[in-house]
Amino acid sequence: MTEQELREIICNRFLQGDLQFPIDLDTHLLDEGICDSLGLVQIVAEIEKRYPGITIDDQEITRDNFGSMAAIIRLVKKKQAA
Amino acid sequence: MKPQMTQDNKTLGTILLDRLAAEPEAEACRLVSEDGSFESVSVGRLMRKAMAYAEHFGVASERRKIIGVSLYHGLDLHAAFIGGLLSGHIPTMLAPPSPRMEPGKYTDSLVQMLGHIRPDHLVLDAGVFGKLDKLALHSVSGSDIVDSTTIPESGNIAHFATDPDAVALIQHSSGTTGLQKGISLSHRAVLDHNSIYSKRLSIQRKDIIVSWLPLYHDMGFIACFLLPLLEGVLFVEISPFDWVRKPVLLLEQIHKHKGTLCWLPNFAYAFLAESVRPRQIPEGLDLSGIRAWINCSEPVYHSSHVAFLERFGRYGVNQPQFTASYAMAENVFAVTQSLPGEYRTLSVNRETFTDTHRAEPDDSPSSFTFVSNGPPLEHTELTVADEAGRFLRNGRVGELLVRGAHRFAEYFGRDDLTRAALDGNGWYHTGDLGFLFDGELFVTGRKKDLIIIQGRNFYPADIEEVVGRIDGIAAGRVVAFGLADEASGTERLIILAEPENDAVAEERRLALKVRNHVAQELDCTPSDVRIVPCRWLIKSTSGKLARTDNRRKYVEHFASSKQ
Repeated sequence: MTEQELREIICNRFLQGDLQFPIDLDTHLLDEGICDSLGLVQIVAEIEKRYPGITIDDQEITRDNFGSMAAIIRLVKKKQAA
Repeated sequence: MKPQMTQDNKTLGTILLDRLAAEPEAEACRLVSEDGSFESVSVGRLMRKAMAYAEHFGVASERRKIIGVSLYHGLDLHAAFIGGLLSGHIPTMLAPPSPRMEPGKYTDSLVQMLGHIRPDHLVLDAGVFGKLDKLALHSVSGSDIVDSTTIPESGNIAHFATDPDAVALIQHSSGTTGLQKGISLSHRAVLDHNSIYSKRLSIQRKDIIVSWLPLYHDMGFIACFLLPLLEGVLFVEISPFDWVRKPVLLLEQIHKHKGTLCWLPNFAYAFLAESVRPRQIPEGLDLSGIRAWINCSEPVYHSSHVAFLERFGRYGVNQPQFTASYAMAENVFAVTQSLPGEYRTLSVNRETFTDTHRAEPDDSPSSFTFVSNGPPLEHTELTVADEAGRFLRNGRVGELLVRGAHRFAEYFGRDDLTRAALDGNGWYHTGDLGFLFDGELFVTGRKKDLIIIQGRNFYPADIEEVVGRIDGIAAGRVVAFGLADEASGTERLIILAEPENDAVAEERRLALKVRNHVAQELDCTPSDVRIVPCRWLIKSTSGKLARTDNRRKYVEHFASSKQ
């Protein structure tokens, strides 16, 4: 999954589609008020829909794994490689 | 006509001590962990721990102390509160710091809280306690800040005189503004409410309540903690933080523990329907044991129930299980409650409703649909009044007024706020709007300035104050309001703010700052933040910013073009 793809998911769902919104790879999505914990669950659902081979368990939705775009991309890449 | 209430001398503490004497080995509750395993807590163990807290607080004498309990879910959360009751003091549940708050901010956040409430004791988890600047806290309030891990497993308490008409506890709603309004409830009011509410829902000792609700909010506190504990009903408690990350945990636990009753804010029905993935559903999931899902704490959308039923109908969810309640801490909890099998919606003509504030039944596609919150409980009076305070007939929309045996006594220590909320005839002016029809309540809106997101109360003034303090934002030029969002089954928070200076404003960077501050200080996520040009916001004739007018302007400018 690319950064652009994830950025689109997040901006479309939580930032009124504003792709220019200044979130970078390390912006903490919860702490910076981009989305709440329910929002993270919704991101997971969206990822699983786009990549049917990947499953992300709720226990994996932690601040480390899912805190930022970089963390999410790392997790998805790890699952794609597995 | 005054209702016939229990006239005996029971208080919350004496009932719990009676329960301890009668059935110390009985299971009081089950505390569920993140992985779905649970710890069973007996009445005896809970009460012994509570007595240890009571011993620490010291038995009440002339002056009754305020006991602030600000803990995450666990045995101590229950025990500290009960300990406050057993020692004859006045306990109150307070929201612990949100997980997304930077630990460096805990002290500031607590200083704010202590400034309003001034508890004599404040009980905190070790993790929070360890990150505090205790000198700073002590200088604000003189409170005894208690690390919950320092309280032993049992203690001794002395007997003390009880007065059922005295204040038993205080309930707060959230935000700085909410912390100023501590709702004082007497033992008699709480006990009568529990008795009447149990009777309405036919709650029996064999019922099992399963919940993820926080205890610093009336629904979780009364329906899913105090009522079952006092009535001898088993309750299964999931932490709200575990639930938001794993929503299916609620359904798993209902199945596992054979839950019969579950209270949820409206958004949870829509959220569960949308977010639980098929592979997460446990083998053989069976929710048919639920007697009632009680939808409460925010406006009820029929579509949220429909989505929930469509998604989980094959696992035993059925229409007769759906009920709704209109409730508030100012009435202990429930004002109305519909019954299983009596779920009702009413469609009304759109024009008649909008133009004349009357509910005229109409099944055409353009009509508004409301869900019934059921009839009022016994010992509670509910009426609808117009702007001038005249009572309105059925079918007419007005402000909901509440009175009766469960109504709060006062806002603790705030005669001014109490006088403003209660009229000369004892009616509490709720600030909510609705109509009565066939004896049932239909809530249609709210005139008070309150935003309810996922069942949590937010005061626009609190949000505006936080945002107004941000560097680059023009103080006093901020408006916060909610927009009803049927898809998510709740409201979305919209914040509009003007920059100090149009020329150098980087709107997006400022918007990000706004999101950060609101998330950190209020544990709230805005749905949309717009930095609008200077003087864009509309002021009312009084010179203050008009939330309604600005909401309308926002919808005209921004909402029609996006999603």
